[in-house]
Amino acid sequence: MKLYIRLFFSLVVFALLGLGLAQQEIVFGWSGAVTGPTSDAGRFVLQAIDDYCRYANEEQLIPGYTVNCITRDDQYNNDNTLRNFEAYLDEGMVAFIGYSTGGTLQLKVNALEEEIPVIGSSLHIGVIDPPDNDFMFLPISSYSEQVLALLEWIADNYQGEGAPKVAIISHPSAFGRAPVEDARNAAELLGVEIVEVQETGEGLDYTAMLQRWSAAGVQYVIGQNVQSPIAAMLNAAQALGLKDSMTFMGAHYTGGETLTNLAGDAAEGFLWATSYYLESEGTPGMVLQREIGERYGRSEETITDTNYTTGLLQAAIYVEVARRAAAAGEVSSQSIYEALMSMNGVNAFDSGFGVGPVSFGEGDRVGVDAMRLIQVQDGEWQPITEPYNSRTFPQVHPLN
Amino acid sequence: MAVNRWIQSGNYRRNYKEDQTIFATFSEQASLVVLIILLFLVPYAPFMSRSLFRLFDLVLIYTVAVMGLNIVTGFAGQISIGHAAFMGVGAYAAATITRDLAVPLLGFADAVPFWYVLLLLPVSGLIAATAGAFVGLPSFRLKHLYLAIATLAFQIIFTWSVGHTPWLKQGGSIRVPRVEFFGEIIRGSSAIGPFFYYFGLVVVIVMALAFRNLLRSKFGRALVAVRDNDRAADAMGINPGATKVMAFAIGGFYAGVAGALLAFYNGSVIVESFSLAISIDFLAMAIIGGLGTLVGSLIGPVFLQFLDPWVEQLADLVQWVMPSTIDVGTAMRPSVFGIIIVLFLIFEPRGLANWWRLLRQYFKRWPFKF
Repeated sequence: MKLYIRLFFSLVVFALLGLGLAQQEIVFGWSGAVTGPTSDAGRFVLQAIDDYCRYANEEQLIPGYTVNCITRDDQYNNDNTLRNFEAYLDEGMVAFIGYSTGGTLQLKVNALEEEIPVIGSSLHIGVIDPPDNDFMFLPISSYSEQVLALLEWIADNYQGEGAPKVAIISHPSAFGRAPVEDARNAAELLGVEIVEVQETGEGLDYTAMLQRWSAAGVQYVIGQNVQSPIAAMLNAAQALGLKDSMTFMGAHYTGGETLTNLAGDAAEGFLWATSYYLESEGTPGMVLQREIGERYGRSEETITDTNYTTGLLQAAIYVEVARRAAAAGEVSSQSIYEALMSMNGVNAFDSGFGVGPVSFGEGDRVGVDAMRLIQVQDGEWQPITEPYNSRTFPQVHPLN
Repeated sequence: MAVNRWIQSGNYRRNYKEDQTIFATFSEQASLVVLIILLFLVPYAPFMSRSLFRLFDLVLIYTVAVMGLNIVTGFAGQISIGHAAFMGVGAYAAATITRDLAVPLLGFADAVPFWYVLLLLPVSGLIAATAGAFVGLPSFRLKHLYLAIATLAFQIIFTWSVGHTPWLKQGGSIRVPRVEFFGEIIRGSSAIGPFFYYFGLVVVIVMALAFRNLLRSKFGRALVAVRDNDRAADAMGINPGATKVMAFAIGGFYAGVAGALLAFYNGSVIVESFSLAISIDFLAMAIIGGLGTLVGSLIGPVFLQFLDPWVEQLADLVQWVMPSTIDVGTAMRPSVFGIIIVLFLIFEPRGLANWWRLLRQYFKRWPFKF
């Protein structure tokens, strides 16, 4: 009898071992700022990637495979990003998720040489511009396209005399400067006058700048920055009584719950260009976002943050392409790349996190191409447009 | 009485000629040869991974830059807080010369030949040396803190200028072609890591030899004289102003060579690699390694570069242990680095180089204590 029991348990152990071995592992790497500059945003992205990978494994989204998302802090330091990227190669990474603008730009040549697809959180158009852009992808529309969409909204809605006057407040870095040249070219096409481009990182008092702009007759202010300087500027504008004469707006990283939390009442009327749905909208993707966040014990602040959506979308894209690659035969960096490049037309991926389907292909390296303008109304973000693409962007910045 | 140069344990140099020798004993020469052989064997170690190669490669590149800073700060006594900017000048010189001259005129496309890189390193160094001499001009009139602020100004002007120059991609990434070595293009981290390890090691050895010989020369002694007392040096016939400017130029040359090396290593140049934070890191490497010593320039970068991933892991650990509302992890790196610098300044101002000296002396005298 004992012999039969031993035999039975041995078979069970071997079966479990066999099952374990049968589950192949897919390694995705993420390197971003968990500490240091912009870690307030990076931490949410990291949590989202961890959560989605756990979710994918628990729900067995890729039959026969487990997803291993390796995440490491790079402190917003390019050298650390490159080091993490190379460490992940040793660990069998098939695709990489980037974070900082500098790190992602510097990774282009490495991604090309290692043939590893990269989807970054940075929406700098240089990431997907040639040369060395073969393996580079943006999850949503670029900063350039967002700023141009805002300029188009100004041109379409301006009812005053002469050309509308616009000032741009940009971050003093490659991130901040990314859309400026395209904005100048588009402004000429649209008949909009860009009065000044002011670079500022962590200023606390924007009184002088706003008064200068007010004296110059600026009616619209476009931000290509992060939320904290924008919030400080909005507070200063409210204190100066300029909110009626100036309309404030910004690209992806200026808006979201963080801005309304920082700026309070001063955020009222702020216009935000982004390709993500808002958690409060309750769309299927956002319901999933809440479900994943609650399943893994995330705070309300995390679940409602747009950076959490960013991480979920990035991980969801890779899990989906890995699923397709697995169904086609094998999962490797090459098959992931091929699955990405064929993600278009009827094969486009509706993630539910973005306002349009995710599509990539020859000449299309932007996942969710469409965007919406969202405005703070009575303290809540409300969409004021349907999803659309910038009409001037293809003219001023044709993509290969 | 002739002394056995294999076993001598003290300073037995009896004349100027012997005093000029680099090595006091044959055992020193032998140990250096063994060390170099070991360093050349490192890539064959089973533990070497791509990320570890990156650490080693950056250590070697930063060592060249820190040697330059040591000439300016350690030997000439002039504080420089803009050393990363000199490195940036070298890197941008290499990138733009290659992009705007070499590629269209010499027809290089995907890769540049190794001889071109060998030629471009000193050229980039010379361009950075010119910038160094220019920035060193205020040292004719300024000293100490005031000169430090002048070099800080250069760092800020450099970052701002690059960020606003479309020709330099406004600080964004400028592509630098890969290196072709004996018909093979060195691309991919598995090839780049070992290649730049050996290349960097050879550059470090050459630059260290130049460094050592420079300091044995009349000019080297003038540097030390100016550092210790520039009025006394002036009385002895040394031109303190010219000596300081020359020190800045030589320091700039070393930084420029390091910058060009970094440009070819990364395959791109981006302004964030030459920020004020990197300049401060270089100062920390020079101080912790030991100002005014060659060995300090070699040990400092090793110590800080290898400390960095450890602190990173520690920060990760602390971050997960602490409540999410308390951002201890963000403060971890600057805190740890700051504390280490302060501790060294208080308890071991001569840096790790002094520990190395004491260790060597211990073994020289062994089995005797004194």
